[in-house]
Amino acid sequence: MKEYNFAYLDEQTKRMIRRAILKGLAIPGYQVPFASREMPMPYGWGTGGVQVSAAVLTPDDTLKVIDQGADDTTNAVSIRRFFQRTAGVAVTEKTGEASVIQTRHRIPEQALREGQIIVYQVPIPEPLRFLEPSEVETRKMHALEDYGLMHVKLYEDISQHGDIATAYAYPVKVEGRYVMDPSPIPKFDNPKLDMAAIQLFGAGREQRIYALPPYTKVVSLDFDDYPFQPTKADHACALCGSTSSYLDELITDDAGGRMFICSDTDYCATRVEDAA
Amino acid sequence: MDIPELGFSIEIGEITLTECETVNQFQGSKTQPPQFTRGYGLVFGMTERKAISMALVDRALRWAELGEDYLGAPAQDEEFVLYHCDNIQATGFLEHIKLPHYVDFQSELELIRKLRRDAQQMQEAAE
Amino acid sequence: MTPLLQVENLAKYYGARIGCTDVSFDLYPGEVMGIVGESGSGKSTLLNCLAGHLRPDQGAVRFATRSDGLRDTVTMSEPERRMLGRTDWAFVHQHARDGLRMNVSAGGNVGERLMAVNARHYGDIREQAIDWLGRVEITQDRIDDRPTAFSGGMQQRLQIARNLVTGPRLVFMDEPTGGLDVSVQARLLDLLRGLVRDMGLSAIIVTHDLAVVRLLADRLMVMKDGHVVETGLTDQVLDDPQHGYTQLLVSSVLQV
Repeated sequence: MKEYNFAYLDEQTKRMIRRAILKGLAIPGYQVPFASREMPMPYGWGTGGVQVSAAVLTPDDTLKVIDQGADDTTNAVSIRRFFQRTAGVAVTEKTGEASVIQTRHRIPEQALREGQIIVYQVPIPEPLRFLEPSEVETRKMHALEDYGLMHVKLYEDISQHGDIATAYAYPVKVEGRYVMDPSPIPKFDNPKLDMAAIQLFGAGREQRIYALPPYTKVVSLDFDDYPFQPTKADHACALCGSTSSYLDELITDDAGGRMFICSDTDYCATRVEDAA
Repeated sequence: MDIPELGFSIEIGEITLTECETVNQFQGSKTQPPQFTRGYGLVFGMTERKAISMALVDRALRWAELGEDYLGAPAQDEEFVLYHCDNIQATGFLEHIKLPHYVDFQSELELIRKLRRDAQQMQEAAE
Repeated sequence: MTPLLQVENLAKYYGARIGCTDVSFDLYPGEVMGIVGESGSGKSTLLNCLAGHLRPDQGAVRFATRSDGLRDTVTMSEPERRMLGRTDWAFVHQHARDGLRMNVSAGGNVGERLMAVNARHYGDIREQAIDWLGRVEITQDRIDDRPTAFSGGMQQRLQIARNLVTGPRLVFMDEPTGGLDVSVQARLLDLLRGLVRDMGLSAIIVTHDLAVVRLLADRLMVMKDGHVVETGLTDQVLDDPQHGYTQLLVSSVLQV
């Protein structure tokens, strides 16, 4: 533990990031610019999330890292090892035992509780980016709460496809004020954004941090007659039998064979254990 | 290699190639059910990253061909893309493609299946 | 009766050059005022100052807001001004492409203002869009087409529908018939006259075309070199112009 400062980043950098986090918590959904550092991993592998985790970790914390809901995927394994090595913190795969959870693309099935922190890795923090390419313009739109364009997009989706054509990174409105990108979680996870834990979002390449304090009101954008639907595959998990968890579709052979299993590995394994 | 004088092919060597096909955002309209778009890359040797990057650039620069609107986005400008896609951020974007995306892709798959199902039903109802 | 818009001593300079200066007038509900003059007379500068697109260097533009009565829109905060811009005000641009989203369907274009004021029912929005397309003589089957597929006259009519759908109390128009063929102009004018009459619209129309104001405007303001040189009832100004410049302007066009 002599080789690195605790959690890799130097103390000044961590303070700078903590200030951004606090500002983000004070203005839920607002994207706070921060001086993102180069990390010993490629941009796009969670450099934003890692910096946020590094700034909030304490030596007493227990860390869980997931990618696509799984604890054993490349990204999750490498980030977990990174903090084991640079911070020496305890790690776990159990959602309930973790005090800090870093995630890519999923929210765990088990409801998070007060005192926990979940850190999201964010590729594109700006929900208006694909409607308006200019950052100057999108910042103005946020400042003036000028979100008509966002609903025009949903309107166009329905008139063109018969339904809202966004399946992940589904935009939400935070406390009736800021429109926010919840990171590329499937829209199935959107209702969970209303939670008891602290939610922090870090975008390294784009140099933005934003946050949701516990119990913040988060509403997925929709129309009254085309309400938001948190959809999933209409199956039960082939391993644990759950009908309420988000499922991955696995192709098992070349003859069109497929099976559906929970994307949250801890949730699935716990259910299998409990049943045994 | 084909030798016209001989009328048959002879083998002069083997070349390793890496081929990459990307599945990208879907599009469609009232008349055409939604479908994914694709990018393609083919490079000499065993270089996954190079093939992926080629497929990404291929897809990015096909926006006009695919009937997408010009939004004034830098990524729609060939010159900008070719000049600026050689930096560390671009490497990061490329590297991250090697991470799994099955959760968000699954969600998109569910949606596109539903949209296609609806479109088909509408068409059948119309016929 | 309280005026809907009260302009006092408005001035805008571009460095040492005068954009417009010393402009004062009241506009009452249901009134249509025309601002005429040649290119460079300051009429477009004035319109942009009134509509909040340009910040005047001097003077006040008071608008009778629904909640607080007369408020100076110059000193109002940007969010408040933008809110007016998408609710009580409408702005019809000379070039339809400046006022439309060209990559959004006709229905989406009309629906945008409704959604900006929190309409959240797709079916209702669509119904209103169809109704408004009908009022500007665009058939229902074009609702999902983009304006790029429309003729110039149709684009302009779509722009009008998009602006009027939220029932604005004041409409700014900048050369609404400019750049259109004469026959298309006539049809558009006819449509505008119908809408103005049926809805009791209050409007300020900037144009260099006296035929437009003859048909639409109750009152006229003639501008030259940034100054207002003559004001009065439309017929009075056009039939009995007092100022030399107005006389020149009126005599230079064929009477309608």
